[in-house]
Amino acid sequence: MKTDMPVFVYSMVPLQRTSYKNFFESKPLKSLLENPGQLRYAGWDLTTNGPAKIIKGDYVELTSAERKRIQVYEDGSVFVRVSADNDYLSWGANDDTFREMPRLNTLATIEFSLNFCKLCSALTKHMQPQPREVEIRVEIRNAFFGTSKLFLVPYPVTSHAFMFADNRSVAPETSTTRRLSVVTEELQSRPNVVAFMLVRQIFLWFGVPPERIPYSTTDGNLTFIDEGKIISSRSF
Amino acid sequence: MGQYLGIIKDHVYPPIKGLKVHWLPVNAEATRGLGVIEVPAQSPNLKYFLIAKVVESGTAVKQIVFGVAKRNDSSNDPFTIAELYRYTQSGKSTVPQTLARVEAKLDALAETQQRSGAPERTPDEVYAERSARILDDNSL
Repeated sequence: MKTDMPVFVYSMVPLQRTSYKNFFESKPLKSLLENPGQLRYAGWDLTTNGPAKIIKGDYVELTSAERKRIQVYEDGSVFVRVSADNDYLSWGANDDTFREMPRLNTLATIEFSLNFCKLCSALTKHMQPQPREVEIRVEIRNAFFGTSKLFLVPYPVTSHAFMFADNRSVAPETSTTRRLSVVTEELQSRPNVVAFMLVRQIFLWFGVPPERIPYSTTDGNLTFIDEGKIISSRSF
Repeated sequence: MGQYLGIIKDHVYPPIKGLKVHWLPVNAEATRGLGVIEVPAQSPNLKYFLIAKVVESGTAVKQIVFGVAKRNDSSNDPFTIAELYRYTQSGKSTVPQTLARVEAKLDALAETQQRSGAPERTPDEVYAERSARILDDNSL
């Protein structure tokens, strides 16, 4: 991974003491990490196509080339590093174009955030005892690189507004950590609602109000990332 | 009966409200029966009741001595000297007592941590270490 390029670190840390039962031996847990699920083929998800490896008896790791790295600890915490350059979350541009116009891919960011929350939701079910709350964070690093600044265009990727990037929301600083405390039951029952709250944090940092987050739906008092809109979306 | 009431009044301070002393005969002549000293529940604001005189082997002990008893189911247990001291220091309010218990637990926790060596890391410290690890390219 190019160390000076933009990168996101998603994480979940239980707020009460817990652990995965038989962490290093658990086949269901290993199977979950190796097959975390996907909304669609070749979408932006946590699939690595690699085995879960024990590292120094300390944690379990899965990697996918230089794009994704997942580290899971016995105490329940999960860290996921994902490239935010044109290799992954800013998919859709070559190296030169990306350096000139470092536009975050809204579909990639939102779909990956949803898949991260869905994986966290499934992982919490393996924790004993069940923590009452978890903290979900997203850390953004290297949003400023070279002379460029990462930016967001808050529209679906198939829209003209996204294509022409004429409504840019530029990262306000080179790095940030956004934090979200979530009740475990809510994460288990509505990971798509938690995903919206997480994406909301990212968009707010870029200066975008929540009502302009694409691929979301409001139903009564709840707003959530809409899987249907992602599945039917045509990425570019 | 009035004599018993008078003796209790002399020995207990403040006076017990609603105190009753009566005789429950068990035969028609009322020559056999049970003497009952009835102490109704007292207002918490009046507690604790001090024992003004101490009798030992039927003789009043002539020295400045008094105890404090607390009701424990069917018995009245005097405070230990440590308890008595604590109450003289912090009163009967629950706040100082709670603080004293919290302080004792913190002391015990600190002692345990000192014995176990390194202090437990905060969640933020753990997060920072793991975040740095996953960002470290050399471990790829």
